[in-house]
Amino acid sequence: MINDESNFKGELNTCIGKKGKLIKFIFWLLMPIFLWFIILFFLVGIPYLENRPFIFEKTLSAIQESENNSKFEKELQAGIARIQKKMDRLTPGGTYLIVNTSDNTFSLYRNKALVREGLCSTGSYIKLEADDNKNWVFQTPKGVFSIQGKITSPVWRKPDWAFVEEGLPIPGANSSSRFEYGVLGDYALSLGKGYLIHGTLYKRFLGQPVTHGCIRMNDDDLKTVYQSLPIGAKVFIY
Amino acid sequence: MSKQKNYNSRSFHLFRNYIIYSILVVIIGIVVQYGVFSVFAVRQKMKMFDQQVDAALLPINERHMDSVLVDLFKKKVFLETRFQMSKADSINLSINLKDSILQLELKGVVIKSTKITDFEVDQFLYQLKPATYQHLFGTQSQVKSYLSTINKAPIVVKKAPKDTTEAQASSVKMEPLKTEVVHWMLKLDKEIILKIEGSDQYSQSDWWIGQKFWFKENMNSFKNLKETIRFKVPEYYPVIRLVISESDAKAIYRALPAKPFVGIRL
Repeated sequence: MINDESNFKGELNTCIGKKGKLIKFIFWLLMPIFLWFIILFFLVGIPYLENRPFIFEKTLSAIQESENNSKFEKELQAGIARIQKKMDRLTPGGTYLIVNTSDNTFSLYRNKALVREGLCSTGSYIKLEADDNKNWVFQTPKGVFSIQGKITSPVWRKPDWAFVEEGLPIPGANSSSRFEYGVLGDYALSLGKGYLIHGTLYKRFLGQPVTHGCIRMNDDDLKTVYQSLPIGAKVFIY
Repeated sequence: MSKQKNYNSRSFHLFRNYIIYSILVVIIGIVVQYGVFSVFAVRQKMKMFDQQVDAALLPINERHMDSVLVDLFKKKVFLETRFQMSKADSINLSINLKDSILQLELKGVVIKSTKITDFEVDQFLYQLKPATYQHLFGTQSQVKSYLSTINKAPIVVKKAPKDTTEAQASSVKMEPLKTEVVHWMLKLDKEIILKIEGSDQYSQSDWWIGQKFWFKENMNSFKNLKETIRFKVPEYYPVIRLVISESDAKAIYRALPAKPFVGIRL
């Protein structure tokens, strides 16, 4: 009786042990699948319920975006280099002069580097009104010009306003009183329309707006400018 | 008698309080109305700018740009604008707020460069979408109108002397160089206002004259208040305020032609 009972218990234990192992086996088999479903729910289910992009979609779009951005960055850099090259080409490579009519200063550049700067005199902004309704504004023109001619020992052919300004009668076009020697310095560079870069006897006025529209410089600066600027060189006046 | 007096005094106090509170309520109402309508004005302007944007540029808005990309994008936009401006025959202005540099350019050549010592930009301009930014700053702006404390050309009218004696007498007179307050304002065709103040340690001009100029200008915004009281959305113009040296402010202002082009990089 006792033996039968113990046998039965033994069989039961074996049976339970086998079933337990089976349950354990099934549990460990299903657990990763269950966990996978939980993860999937967080990755897909919740975004789906909230109607927003799935996390892997976001990751994919982030990868795509980063690829696009790096492509865009390269495009931008190439574009910048291209336009910068074009811009650099606009600045003259040779010698050019910049004149500031407000401060009455000049800067001479060679190969895009400043080689000399100093004082000059530009237009006085005086409007001279004569009795016969004639008037002249002594203003240096602004803009970009080019050297059209170079003269040594220039002679000044006085225009009408020079006589009006001095209270003198206007002489004939070829009158000898129109020609003055030595007042324009040793050199003159023509900018066209009668405007010159020249020297002056009135060096104390350099740095002030006192001229009739021409640009006056001291002897040393004028010599350097004359020697540096070839015909056709640009002169920027502002 | 005294009761009557007390009653009168109480009713006077009540009336006075009523008036004071009414005035306060009206003032607060106007201030709130002004504030609300000003916000509307800014939002309206932003909407207007966004709507002007060329549809082809819109994909830029969708792109997420980090600071490096934004910087490159703005650099390219600015270079493109400067290159466009170089095709004009006249002097133009380029403003690089990133590097704090203001330049005069002629045919692409930098003829004057000055350091911007201080600047303020309306936050509105920093909130722009890339496409709107490109629309506003990717092409040159043209100056619509000027306002300044100095003349564009300081012309002095002189009568011709009658004889040599009079000529000699007038030639001796040498006008001393005037110190002038140099503040100016440009209104651009893209509805942006540029305010430039000339100020540095060497400034000799009267500080008050400059303040008076800006005060007068700011009083124009009183018009906005009137508009808001009439329940109208006022006009809003984003402002960029720059401070540069006084002599450079004068030289640059006088160098600019009547309707120059302006390129800006934020």
